[in-house]
Amino acid sequence: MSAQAVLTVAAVLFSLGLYCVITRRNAVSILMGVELMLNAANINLVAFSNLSLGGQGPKVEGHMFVVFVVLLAAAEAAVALAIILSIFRRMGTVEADRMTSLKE
Amino acid sequence: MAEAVVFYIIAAFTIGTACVTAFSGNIIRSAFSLLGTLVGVAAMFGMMGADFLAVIQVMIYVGGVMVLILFAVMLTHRIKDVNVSNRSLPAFPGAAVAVLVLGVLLYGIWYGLPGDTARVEAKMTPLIGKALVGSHVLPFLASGLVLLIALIGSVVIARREETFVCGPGEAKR
Amino acid sequence: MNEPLTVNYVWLIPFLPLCGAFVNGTVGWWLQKRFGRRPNGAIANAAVWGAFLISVQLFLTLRGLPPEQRALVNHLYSWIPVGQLDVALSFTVDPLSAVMILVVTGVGGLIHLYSIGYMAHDKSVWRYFAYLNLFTFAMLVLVLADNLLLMFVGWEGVGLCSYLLIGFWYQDVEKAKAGMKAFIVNRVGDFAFLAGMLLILWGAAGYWDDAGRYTMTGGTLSVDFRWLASATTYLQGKEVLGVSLITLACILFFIGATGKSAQLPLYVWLPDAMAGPTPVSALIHAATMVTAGVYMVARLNFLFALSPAALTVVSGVGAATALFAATIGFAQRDIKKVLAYSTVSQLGFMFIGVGVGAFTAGIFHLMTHAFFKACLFLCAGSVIHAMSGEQDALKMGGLAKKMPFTFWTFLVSTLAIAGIPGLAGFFSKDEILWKAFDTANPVVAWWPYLVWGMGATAALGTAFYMFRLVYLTFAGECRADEETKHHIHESPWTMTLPLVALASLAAVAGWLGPPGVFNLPNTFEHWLEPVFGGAARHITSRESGHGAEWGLMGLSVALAVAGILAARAVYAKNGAEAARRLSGRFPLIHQFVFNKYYVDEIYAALVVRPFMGLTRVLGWIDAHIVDGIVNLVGKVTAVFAMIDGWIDLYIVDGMVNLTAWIVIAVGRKAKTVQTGRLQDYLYVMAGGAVLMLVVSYMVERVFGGGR
Repeated sequence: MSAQAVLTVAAVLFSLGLYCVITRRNAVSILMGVELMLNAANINLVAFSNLSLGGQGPKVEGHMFVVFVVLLAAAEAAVALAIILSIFRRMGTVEADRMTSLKE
Repeated sequence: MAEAVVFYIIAAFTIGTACVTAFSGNIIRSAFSLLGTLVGVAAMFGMMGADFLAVIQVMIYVGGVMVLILFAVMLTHRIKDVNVSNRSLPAFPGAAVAVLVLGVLLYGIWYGLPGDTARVEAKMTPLIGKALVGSHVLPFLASGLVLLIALIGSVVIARREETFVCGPGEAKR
Repeated sequence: MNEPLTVNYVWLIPFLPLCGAFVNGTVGWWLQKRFGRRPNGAIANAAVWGAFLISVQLFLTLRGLPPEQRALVNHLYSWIPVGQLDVALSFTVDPLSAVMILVVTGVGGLIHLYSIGYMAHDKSVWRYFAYLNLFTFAMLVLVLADNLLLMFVGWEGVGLCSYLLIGFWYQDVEKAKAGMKAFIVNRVGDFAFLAGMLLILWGAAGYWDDAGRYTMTGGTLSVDFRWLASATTYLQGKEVLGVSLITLACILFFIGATGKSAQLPLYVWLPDAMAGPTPVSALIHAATMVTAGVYMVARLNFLFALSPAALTVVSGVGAATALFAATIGFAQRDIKKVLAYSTVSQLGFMFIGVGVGAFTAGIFHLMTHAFFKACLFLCAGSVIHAMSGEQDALKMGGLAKKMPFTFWTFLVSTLAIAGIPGLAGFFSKDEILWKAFDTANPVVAWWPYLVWGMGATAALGTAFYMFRLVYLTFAGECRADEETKHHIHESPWTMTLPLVALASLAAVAGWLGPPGVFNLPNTFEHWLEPVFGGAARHITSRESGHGAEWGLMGLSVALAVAGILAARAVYAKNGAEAARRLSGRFPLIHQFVFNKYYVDEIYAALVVRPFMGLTRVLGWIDAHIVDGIVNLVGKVTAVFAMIDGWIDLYIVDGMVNLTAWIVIAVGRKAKTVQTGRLQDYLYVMAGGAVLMLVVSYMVERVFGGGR
């Protein structure tokens, strides 16, 4: 299992997440795309952390980052979904391109 | 050899479910296949020697975030139209940008990196534990605070305003 | 260089006021509602006096050490560890910061005590004490900071608290505006400070090799002041755009100081800052915060001493400010405005001191000024309190009998500021003037005479306008109406006690640093010797001799007495009438001075209005010209496409149409960049990221191949 294979998987996941975020209208779907991208980033963090570049051996920093990213992703998901719920109550829709009342 | 085989199976599973998440027209199907992707990522963490991360991935993402997303899907869609309602924008420009990004990333990965193994034999869990109460204790405490604020904030945001009475499923002011 | 000793409780000094601010800021409103106003004041006072006790303890520790070891460091943790850079959150107590923390916590504590009485009728006392404690915290961080970055944190913190406290009564729009003015004017100075800081770190942290490439010096860069002092040899000879790097950085630092310490041309905010409660004016806008600039220049003495040009600028601006502000003081009627211009003027004196390399004298004047000016402001507060909020000196008079404590303390402080021998102001001001006269200036030979002349004239003016104020306020008949007259009373003990304490300090503190010709031990100079000893080597005396020093001293005493006598002759009997008569006789000059030489109006015309105008013009350009051009380009291209289409009907028809179509499509797209649609932003972001990577790769391939 080479580092490049792992990173490739992460890159594919990231692109899929990006595609999902770009093409979806539904806010919940967009959030799912964001989660995909975050997961891809996490894989990258672990992989690079494990890479023994410069002969220094594995570092714990990358793993720590993942811990915090997961924590913050949970917080972000909770707040985002609360907002989505609130918007749905007010406007009756969760489609991102219809939420334009801030535009004017 | 066996390890490589297992890895490719996991990778295929992860990417396959992620494809379903990204391309499916049915939002319920999207959500459930995201579940698969998250489990796949957890398995990859496990394969890379990051046991602790695999566990928290399952606990927080699969146990927490996914349930939240499913609730959101169900609360914001009426049950009768569960099969439709995942309209998309035109796929072409999105696909173009995504493929472009993928190309750049893959180029960087395959031509910019030394081929090295991503697996680590060291026991990471005790190191993480020490770091959490040692060098990283301040961010650790701060993230606790962030979680608390997010919790209270989301309760406040999602709270139903008492002034107007809404029946279930009614979304008009 | 000795490794400084480590002490692990210095952090308590700023931490206690922070705790006080936190308690008052979070549960203070509840305490006030539940138990009345007492607990708020008690908490704030306890915090500051606790900090004072620790400061005294540290001072005694420091005194017990041999002079060359007098520096205590408290390293808390690495704040910004980035690569080789390691900025620490650490506090230093050396003789200079020991003086500053004693002044800040001591004078600050007295003012906190005074505030209990002064703010006894305000409805949000908790907010006031929270801000006041927060200010004390920020000021202590500023003076205790071990490096420029941490100092900047305190620097910004005091600016913020100053803004909050000036606009404390924010319901009054004028006062809220005064707060904003102070904040914005300070921001100009802060920007220069930041630029100077970055410049000096950039210069000190690396070097340029022959090929012109910048390389960091090896090892860890802890950018504290000791490191900076040792890096100066390394900075010398470096140039930026043909100017010596040290000079440029020093001048930038000094611009920062002019903002915070209200020097020309950025002094305009200080008189307006008098909108805040009077104890705030005493603490922030007289005793502590405005001296931050002087402190900063003194702290960076090792840099300024290396740049005669920067020192010349500092002393020149200081002297000009001292004289300029003193003349404005002649015509002001508002008791607090007079004191405000007096503060600006005295700060000018301090800058003369540090500007001629006499850092000890500058800091000495900073300390004595903190005592007598805080006392003057608190007396003014006491007067205003008694006069039911009246601030116009022409409507006062005859208060000496009714408010004996206030009168006598005010008189002592006024004598001190005027420079009467034996009181604090005499020693420090005379020291500054003597050094200004005696220190050689390698850039401009006649500079000492100019600076001394302006300083001496300003001292004469100081004596005059301060005694004008005394006569108008305390002498003669009371000119208030019956209603107010009835209310006049001496203030409660929480207010008079600080007055007496500060007045006593103002009377005796001068003996810490008597002039050289007195042959007395100069405790203050010896105390600061370890800090300024290095810089003193770069300053050369002109060896004017004892005779000259005695002569100049006699002259400045004569000037002070002359100023007092002149004020007595004009204002002693029926002062208000005299003031009106004078302004009637010279209406033009009076108007000119009374309106502060119209500097505010000039700024409004030169800076504020053009800026507003510019925004409007840009808005118009955006709406008419840019849009017009876009539309025009689209139309012209379309027209060309049509013409070309007719001409080259068969050959380039398709191509031209395509071009036109692309231009129109791009125009349409570009017009709708701000769609509010998430996805559009994402396209741009992802596309941009890819583009950047590709371009940087190309650049590397094309231009980097040669290496």
